[in-house]
Amino acid sequence: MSIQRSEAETAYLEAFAEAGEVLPKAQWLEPARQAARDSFAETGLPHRRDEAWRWTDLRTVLDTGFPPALTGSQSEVPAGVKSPFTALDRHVIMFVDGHLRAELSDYEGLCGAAQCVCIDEDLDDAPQWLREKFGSAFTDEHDAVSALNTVFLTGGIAISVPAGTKVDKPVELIFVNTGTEPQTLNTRCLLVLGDGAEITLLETHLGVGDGRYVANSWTEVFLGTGARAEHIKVQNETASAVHLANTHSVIGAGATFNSLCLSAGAQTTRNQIKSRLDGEGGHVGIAGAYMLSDRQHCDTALMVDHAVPECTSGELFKCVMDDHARGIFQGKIIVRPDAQKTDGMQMTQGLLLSETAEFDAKPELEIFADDVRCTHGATCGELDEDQMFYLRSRGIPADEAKSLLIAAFIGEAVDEIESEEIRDLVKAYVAELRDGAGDGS
Amino acid sequence: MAAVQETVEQVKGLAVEQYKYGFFTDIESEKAPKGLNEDIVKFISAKKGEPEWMLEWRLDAYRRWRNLDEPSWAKVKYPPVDFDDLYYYSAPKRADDGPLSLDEVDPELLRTYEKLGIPLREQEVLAGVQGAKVAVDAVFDSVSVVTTFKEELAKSGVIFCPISEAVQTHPELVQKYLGSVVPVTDNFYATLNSAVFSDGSFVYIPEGVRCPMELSTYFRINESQTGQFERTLIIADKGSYVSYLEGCTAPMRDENQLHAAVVELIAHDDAEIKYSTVQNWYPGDAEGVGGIYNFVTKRGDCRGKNSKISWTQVETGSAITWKYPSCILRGDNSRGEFYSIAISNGHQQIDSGTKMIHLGKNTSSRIISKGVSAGKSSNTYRGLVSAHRRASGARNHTQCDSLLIGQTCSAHTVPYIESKNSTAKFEHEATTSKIGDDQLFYCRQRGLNEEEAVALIVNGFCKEVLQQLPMEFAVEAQALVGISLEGSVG
Repeated sequence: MSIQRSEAETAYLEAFAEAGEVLPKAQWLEPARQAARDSFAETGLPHRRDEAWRWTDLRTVLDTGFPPALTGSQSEVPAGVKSPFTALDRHVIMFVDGHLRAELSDYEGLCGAAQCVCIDEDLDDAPQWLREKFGSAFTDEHDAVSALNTVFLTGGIAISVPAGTKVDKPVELIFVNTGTEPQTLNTRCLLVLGDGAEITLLETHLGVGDGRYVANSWTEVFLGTGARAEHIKVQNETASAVHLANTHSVIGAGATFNSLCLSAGAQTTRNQIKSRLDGEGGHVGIAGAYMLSDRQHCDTALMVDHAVPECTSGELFKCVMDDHARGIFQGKIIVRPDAQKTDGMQMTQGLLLSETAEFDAKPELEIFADDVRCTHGATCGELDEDQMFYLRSRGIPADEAKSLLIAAFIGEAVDEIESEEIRDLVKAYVAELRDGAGDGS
Repeated sequence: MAAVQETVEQVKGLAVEQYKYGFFTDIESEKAPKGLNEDIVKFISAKKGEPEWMLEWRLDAYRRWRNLDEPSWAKVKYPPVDFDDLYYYSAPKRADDGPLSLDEVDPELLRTYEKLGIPLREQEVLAGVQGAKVAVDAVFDSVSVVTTFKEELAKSGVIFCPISEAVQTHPELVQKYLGSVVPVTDNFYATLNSAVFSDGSFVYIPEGVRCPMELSTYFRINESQTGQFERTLIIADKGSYVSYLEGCTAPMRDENQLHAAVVELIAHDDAEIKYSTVQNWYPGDAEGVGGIYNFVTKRGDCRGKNSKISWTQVETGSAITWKYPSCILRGDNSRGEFYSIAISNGHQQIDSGTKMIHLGKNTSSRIISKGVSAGKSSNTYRGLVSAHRRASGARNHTQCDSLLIGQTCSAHTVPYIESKNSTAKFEHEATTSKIGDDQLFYCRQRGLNEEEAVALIVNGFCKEVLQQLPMEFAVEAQALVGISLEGSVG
């Protein structure tokens, strides 16, 4: 049987062979790379007949080939490209077009407290913890996004924080994509926290100008017993970029993982967030905010797996869609047969600012244990008339009232961030993005 | 906790063996040869003396069906159905083919319905309710054996008859509406049904008429190795109202039997259709052996302005249920409602829910779904609420609650929400929980034993749906809820 392949699929398949010569060498990674190659050759790019992709047709989005960026670029980072966390005292690890740039980074302090391995180099001597954990959070299924990342991975960082260590300052990973060429940029971040370790990880994805590229990033976080991690991701790729992301977390007993993902940029965004509660007493909190306009398309596929008893999880997604934008949220909570005393909550809300915007949601529950409390809610609508009237009656002009209500709507998700300082910076960035959008229209 | 544990223990012993409609009526029947091919389709059509267009319609469906694959997306597991190992037509034998008056009906059949508690004699009324008249169409395997109150209904212009009779007497109505809501191409089972449907009810309520009594159809599968493929078509013309109820039972057998029905409802301007189902097919035994595969396509079309379609279902039977009674809200200001209680016990698997498709302006819909799973069963709510670009002012409220009894059952919720209109307002909420210890404690403290307490709580859990049923049947349904959970909660 002959398979009809799209141009992009053929391009990726052809690149598989040539990539082998250039990519970081790692014998131990070969089986995983081969499995990924095989799975991609079999399934190709996902399209709307795949249930998980029913609202996002990646085969159509990637109409032409985006060759993987295999060699590092020495592109300058334009002055205008600025992280929202610049004012913060933090460790900075900078990636430009998928490759780590040491001269633009500053994380020596981090290397004292934790073990850092640069993934750009050959990995044959990688430490045991890296080999064990790399790509191991969720191995049950191969999807095209993960497969491409596994095969074409060019850069990234692996950080191991020893037991009991609290990393002194937030660590920011900045991914700057210049988009000078239509490439696929594949990066990876692996974070392993020992028992009781703590860290704040900031992840900033920034695009330059109006470059067209595919950014495929994968973040994996493993939390040991009683560990704590806060993860804030800000995505502001260029208006014609495609952002594909995996965020995986495995949470140990009594550990806490809090994550916020702000999606503001990119033409098409696909966030695949998976979290597994692996030890009793663990907690995961996942928040998300969309700020979409024009013809932007953002799809989040979220899965929280309660594998053991007595864990809690909470998800809150606030999605704002303007113009012809389309927001999609697919969330699933699984409670395994023995995961008694689970408490799971999920809420997703869509706010449509224009008649042509669209919101689709599929909040799922899959429950195999009886002594649990799981709820989910989904709402969708326009700005509340009564709230507008309340503000207008107090003399606030319509534009400003609208702006206030939108800020409050998004703010509910941002408020999930524990650190006040970071929260304020994210809120300021949201305001800046909104003002920018306002100027443009 | 102890009480729940105790009930869980009891489920193991009793489970679904409580099924009291599991008897078999030994009656001589006439069957089509086993299997499915064009000759069988022609055989069924000839049996019904159908006009040429009807046969062509069936054959077209059959040819399409041959090229279709069985859907596999539902959360149900079962061995593949051998569609060539089934009888597609089975009818109790009778001397002549003319229409039957009640006196001519085989007394064995009458006794069957008596045993099932279905009143076929017009003077009879349902037990416990005084003065309520209910017209019944009784479908036995592939044919309708009797339809009551036909003359009285005809006085108000209401047509209520088996669909095979309607094809003869009102071909213009059947031709106009059949397949207009569930097209032949809709899905695997609907296409199969279009090819081989044998009987079912046809209802037409003329303009401005409020149907003077409840209409109901009672489906009974009796023969072994047969499938039942009934087709129901209800048309409510402008400003009319009808309330319709269907009930179903089958004998206890070790084999799985297929039931693939299609129900189409059409509501014109200002019309209202209320459709209630009490589904009590044989669910299989405690080990999950036997039971009916209930693969049903039900859809209502609110074609006119201000029309309303309301689905109420009490699903207690069937080994597997695959059923999504839906509403297409085409007319401006039209309204769709879906109230469901789905109770699964033993090894039952339910994947059921609804679709509310908002196309017209200011359309509204309401979904209330209550799932109770016990034993080793799996209970899934799957629903879609969508607003078309032009459906301004669309409104939906969805509430799905699941109750789990025991550690071996599962409950799933798979709602889809698609809004293409900013003025559409959709709300969805779902909860999953078990019976609260505090609720149990409260009831126990007031002198109820564990069983009574659990029954009371489950009844309260389902109350919002039960009260939507026509009064005449609420009593029956309430009892049924109790029976299906006997040993687990009731």
